[in-house]
Amino acid sequence: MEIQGTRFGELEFDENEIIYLNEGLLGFPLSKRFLLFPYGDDSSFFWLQSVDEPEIAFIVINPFEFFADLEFAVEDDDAASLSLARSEDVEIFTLVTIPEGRPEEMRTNLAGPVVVNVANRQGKQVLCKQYSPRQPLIPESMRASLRERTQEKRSGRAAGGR
Amino acid sequence: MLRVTQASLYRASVSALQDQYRNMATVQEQSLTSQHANKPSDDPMAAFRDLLLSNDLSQVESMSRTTSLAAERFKHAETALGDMHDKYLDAQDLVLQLGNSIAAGDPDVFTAASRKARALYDDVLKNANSQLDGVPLFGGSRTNLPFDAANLSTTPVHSWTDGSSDGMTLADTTQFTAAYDSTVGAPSVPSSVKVTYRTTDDTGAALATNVYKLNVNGVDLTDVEEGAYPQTLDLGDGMSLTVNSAPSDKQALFFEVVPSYQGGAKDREVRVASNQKFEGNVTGDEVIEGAGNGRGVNALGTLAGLEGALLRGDYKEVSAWLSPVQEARAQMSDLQAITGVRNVLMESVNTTLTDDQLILEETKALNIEVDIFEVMSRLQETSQAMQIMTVSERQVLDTSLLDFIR
Repeated sequence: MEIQGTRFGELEFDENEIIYLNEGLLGFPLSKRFLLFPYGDDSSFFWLQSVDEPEIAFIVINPFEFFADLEFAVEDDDAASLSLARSEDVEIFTLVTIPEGRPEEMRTNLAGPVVVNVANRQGKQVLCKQYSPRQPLIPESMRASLRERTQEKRSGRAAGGR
Repeated sequence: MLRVTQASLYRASVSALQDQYRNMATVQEQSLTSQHANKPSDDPMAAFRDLLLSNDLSQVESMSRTTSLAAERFKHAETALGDMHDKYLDAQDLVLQLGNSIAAGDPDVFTAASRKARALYDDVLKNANSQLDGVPLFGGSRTNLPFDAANLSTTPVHSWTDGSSDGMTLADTTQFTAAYDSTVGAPSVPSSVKVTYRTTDDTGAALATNVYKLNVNGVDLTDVEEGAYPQTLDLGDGMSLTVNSAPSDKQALFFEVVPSYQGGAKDREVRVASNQKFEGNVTGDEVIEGAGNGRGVNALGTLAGLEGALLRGDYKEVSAWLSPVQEARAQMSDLQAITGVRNVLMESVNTTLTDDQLILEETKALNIEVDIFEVMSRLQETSQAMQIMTVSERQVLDTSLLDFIR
């Protein structure tokens, strides 16, 4: 199978690589099938590319690699809908948002993690009210200095007439 | 309800969800011939990575230079403190050699020994004024004021019973106060003052009038009769001793006039991470005046007092300086241990930062694909390693200081 993505061009894939999010993602109800591949070798960032809407691709992360002491509770109904019986079969990722021009404000939605049963590749976005939907990935101390650099770059571009 | 934590996960990353048929190179290769966009908004990760690497590289470069300089300063300070420590061992030898009756009655021996004591004093003063790249090693707050005759002060008053085999003790500060007035005159530096209160003569007969016998650097001044208290005794050149009540017969009081510490209370802290600082070098206040991590010993005053005792040619007085000299030696040893540990810690951090710097430089130069998590993880590891080393420093210091409590 193949799709023509706007970001990566033509992508070939096997059907058994598809992740099925039958209820879609919040705001994207039409995208139910996705491909997941790493942003780079050994990267902690991944692309979640929609098969149904090729123009849609999200950056996602495994939140456990960024935050200590996370605990997501999967309700029984959600677990049942995914035929999920063992925590060993679970993988979780969260969507990352990078505001245009403000990469230092990169954040992830811990309140809406996507839970996937790796055994049957069925997944769904669940609600975890105890976490923030806009959890910054970059510490505040680092954000400030990055913000300054961003502004410097903009000033430089403006001065250069570009 | 199913609870999912890091510990419960069978695999550590979402990579289990995607078969390893392709890698990013394939994707990138495809993107070169497609509609892949290069605007930061379309590829925010690349823009962010560049920002992050540049930011981290400049920070790491700065911290690496700082810790390298700090480690160099520690190394020089450790050497200087070791040298000072050895001078007090030599001073201790002088006390042990001349603090007995063997050389009594041979003033030339004492005079020669006093010159040795002065040489030790000069060596310690020179070490205390050590500099690296024009910056004093033992200058809190990076003072540039040296220890010299322009800034003199008196040491705390010591007490000793003249003629006894007892050691020196700190005198009661409410009873005795030494002072130096720089507007009056300039004493020889260092100066060693001895004031002895006498109500009896050497045979034990009571004197008609109680007197204070004054001696500065081995030279006897005119006796001063006891007057109304508080009584201020003028010792010349701006030096004086105020006595608030009568001492005991033959009680001898000592103080020295030596260069004083003029700098700030602490050396600059060394920034080793974005939010972490390590203590800088020990200060002149600690080394010379015994503040902070010191033992409360005026290091220059101790050698000046020993020189004075040798100039006076009194072996019992020389012997009385044994304990202060040993305390001064221990003070240098303590501070050398502290500096040594700080040096090891700083060099370790510097090595880590240097490694980080090389990796970041290489990453930027070769445009290696690296993401923020990798960089952040390295910084996190560095921070954790430094925290562990800080704990180690405390443990080593506790041990090293315990060595002297015996």
